[in-house]
Formats: sequence, structure tokens, C-alpha cells
Amino acid sequence: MTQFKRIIKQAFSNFYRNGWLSLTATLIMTLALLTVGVFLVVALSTNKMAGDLKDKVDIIVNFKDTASDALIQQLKSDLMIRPDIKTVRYISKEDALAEFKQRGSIKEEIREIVTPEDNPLPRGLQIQSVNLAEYDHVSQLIKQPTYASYVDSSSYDDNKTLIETVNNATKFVERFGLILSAFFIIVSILVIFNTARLAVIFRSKEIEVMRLVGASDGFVKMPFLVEGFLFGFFALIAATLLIYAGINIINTISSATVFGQFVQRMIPIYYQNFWFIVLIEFITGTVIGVGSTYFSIRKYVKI
Amino acid sequence: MEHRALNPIIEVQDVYKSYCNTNALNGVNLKIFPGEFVILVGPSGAGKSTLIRLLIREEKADSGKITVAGRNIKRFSYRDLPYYRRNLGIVFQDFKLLPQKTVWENVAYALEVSGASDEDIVRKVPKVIQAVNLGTKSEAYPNQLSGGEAQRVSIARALVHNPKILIADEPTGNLDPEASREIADILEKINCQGTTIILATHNKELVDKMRKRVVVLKGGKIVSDQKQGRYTF
Repeated sequence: MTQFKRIIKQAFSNFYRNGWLSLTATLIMTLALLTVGVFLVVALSTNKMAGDLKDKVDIIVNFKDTASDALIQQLKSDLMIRPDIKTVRYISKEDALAEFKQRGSIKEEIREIVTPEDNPLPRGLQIQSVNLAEYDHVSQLIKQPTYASYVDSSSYDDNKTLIETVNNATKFVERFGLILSAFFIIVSILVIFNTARLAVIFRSKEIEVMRLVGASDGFVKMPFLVEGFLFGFFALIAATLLIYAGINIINTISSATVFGQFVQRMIPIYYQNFWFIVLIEFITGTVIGVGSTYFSIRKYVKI
Repeated sequence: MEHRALNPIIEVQDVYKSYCNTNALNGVNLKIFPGEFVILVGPSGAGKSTLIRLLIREEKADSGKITVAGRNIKRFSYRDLPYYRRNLGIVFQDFKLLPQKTVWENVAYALEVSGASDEDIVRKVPKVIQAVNLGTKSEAYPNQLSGGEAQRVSIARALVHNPKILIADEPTGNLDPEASREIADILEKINCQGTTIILATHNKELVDKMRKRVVVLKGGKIVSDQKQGRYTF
């Protein structure tokens, strides 16, 4: 415990004494964690938004009156087997009528024309899928000869463009964020690695003295590793504050713009995942800080 | 002498060491007994510093055996070294102080590494700083000290954990005559308290005045070993 206390004390005093070096390392690390953090917020938000949209997007397959109930039920059970299909709801003529009556946008006269006795509304299946790609399978299934001639219409093609746009946007954000994060992580690994190595070379005489007066390997190395951890830790605090402030500032000054609205939707997602984001940043910072220090120091402590 | 009856605390047996085909040590045999004060002299390149580097296990001998307190030091693993060195006091020509620590912290560091308690440190450090007459300088940094003062800090650091053996490699090499005499006095005092001392030096005046056992190295060999020797080679 005493040794632990001494190691921590030394690390803090080294961090303070090598002020500029520590500051540079912390700033670069902040940049890396900032990228990781922003990427996480944006990725979580787009995912959530895409998810919400996906839940809203469904396919309604309408059947001609000539289709038998058995055929419809057959298609329903065929669809239910697929693991990616979330729900399949059968809409009977009565259901369709009830929904039709509730629609506010339809004129009163037209609403009156349709009655339970003379109901032209088709039976249908409302399909919700978890995976957007699954909609393609659904579309193929209903185009099979067994069903094709009984299907009146499906909303698949209307939704297709929208679905693809959402899909592409989500993928783009994920890829772009990953590349940018990877880039900054690599840059900060290089910088921290060199910072630690400079510090070690700069203090190699000291390390020699430490070893010669009987300091164990651990007692020499640990303060350096704790110093590396501190780079990550202070960067974490800085990055968290910057993201927090950034989101709120953008929200205040540009809430009217599309970008502002996007940020507005991000805020609840950011708060919900706050600790998760901090945790990921903490792990990234610690691995980079301690890891690169470890590898740079390994070579020099051998007396 | 009475200590001849004891086992040697340091025994060097037929030790060879070479660097890039140059023989630095060429079959050295030496026994040092507890409580002795041994001065190593010899021209530059005679092998004094090499012998000291081998004794503190900064390097290993090519062949031969060095036993310290009954243990063959060649067998120590990298992990054993700190523990071995904590039993030695080492003083260097260039002081080897930690530049960013105060006098007090430099001395305390030697205790900190061995896991001494804070109470122990607070009790021992001022005493040893006092013993080398640096009581007023404990808060100074090495760059604020004169050469003699810095060397006294280095001796204080070497002594603070009560080593049985103190090894000093040219401790007066960078000092003026007066400071050198001070260092010699301190070393004699320490020796009187029972610490075995090995001193490598070029300082003729010091050697002649001290009248201790003088071992002369030349070309990597011991050419003379006198009980109350003088600086001759």
C-alpha cells in the first residue's frame, strides 16, 4: 500500500514536471477520445433513428377477393417462420373497414359509401421486419406464382427507396465514423508512444540510478505506466466536457436548422448512453495510454 | 590481523572480463574481509571501474566467480538484482543523484524502493543527512549544490539503509582537495562503525594520507596488495 501510494505520487509529480510533454500527449488523446465519443453518439443516434423508422416502415400486401383465406394464412405462416420477421398481422375486411373509417383525411361522403355489406376493401397482411434486407425476401416471396396472381398490390416498392436511403445513410455514418476514429486512435498511439519514449530516453539516466540504488523493475516502471493512464484519464474528462458542451451549444444556436434538429434528437440518446460512452472512451484511453507507455518503456528498463 | 580468521565478505576468484577483444580484467583474485577499508588504485584502463561494475552486478564476468556475503552474484537473476543492491551502498564519481528530487527526497528514495515505512524514512533520513553535514541543505536540489555537497548526498543515500558494504568509484574525481578530504573523513568514520569499504581512486594525496590496504591493478591484473599501502604503480 505504501509502495502504491509512492508510485502514484511519483507519477503525478512526473506528469506535472514534464508539463509540455504531458499536455501534448493529453491533447492528442483528447482528440482521439473526442472522435470516438462523437462517433458513438452519432452512430447510436442514427441507429436509433433508423430503428424507429424501420419500425414504422412495413409492407402491406393486399389480396384480391379471389384469394382464399387458406392461401392468405399459408403465406402468413410462411412469413412467420423466417427469424427476421417481427410481426405479421392479418387484416380482415372488417379490420380494413374499421381502419378506413378512422382515417381523418377521407371525406365524409366517401366514408359513407363503404359499408360492411358492400365492402370493396381488400384483405391484407401487414408485415414488419427487423432487418431491412428481409423486405427483399418478402417481396420475392409474394412474387412467387403461388401468390402472385392473388396479390392485388403491395406497398413494397413505395417503401423500397426510403428503406434504401436509410440503410445507406446508417452504413455511411458507421463506416465514416469508424475510419475517422481509427485514424485518430492510430495518431494518438503514435504520439503517446513517442511521448513516453522521449520521457524514458530523457530520464534514462534516472532510471539507471533508480535501478542501481535497488529499485525493482515494477517500482521504476509503474510511475511511467500510471503517467500513461493519466494522459487517458485527463483526456477522458476533457473529451466528455467538450462533447457535453458541444451538443448543448449546437442545440442552442442552431435548433432551427436541419442539423440542429438532428442534434436535438441526439441529446436524449446521448444522456441515455452517457455512461456507456464514457466507459468506451475510458477503455480506449487506458489501452492507448498504458499500452503505448508499456511498449516504449520495455526496451529501456534493463539495467 | 584478527578478521583474517573470518570468511571474506567479498571474494573474487580468477575473474576475466573483456570488451571487444580488449581484456579489462585478466584473472583477478581478491579477498576482502568484513570491516576492511580497501583502496583500489591503478592507471586509467587498469580495470578498477570494471571490477566495481562487476561487484555491483551492472555487468557479469566472462569467467571466474565473485562471491559477496557467501553468494555467487553471477547467479542472480534480473529480478534478484534490486534486492542484492539494497545490501550495498554505491557512490559514483558523477554522484548519480535524481535531478528533480531534493536532497531529502534523494536520500529517502533509497529507502522507498525497499518498501520502508514512512516512519522509518522520517526517522533515518535526517540523521544520515546530518551525519554528512548537510542539515541545512535538505530542501535543495542537486543543481544548487557544490560538487562536494552533491557527493555527500550520494554518500548519505548509500548509507541510509545501513549497508554492510560501501562501494565508491572515484568519489573524489570531480572534487577539489578540500572536498576530497571531507569525503575521505566521512568514509573513514563509516568504516570505523564496521562498514566494509571499497574505494577506487586516482587521488594520490588521499591514498598516502589514509594508510589503508591498497590494491594496485595494472593491465587487468593485481600487481600489488599492501596492508598499509601507498599510491604507487
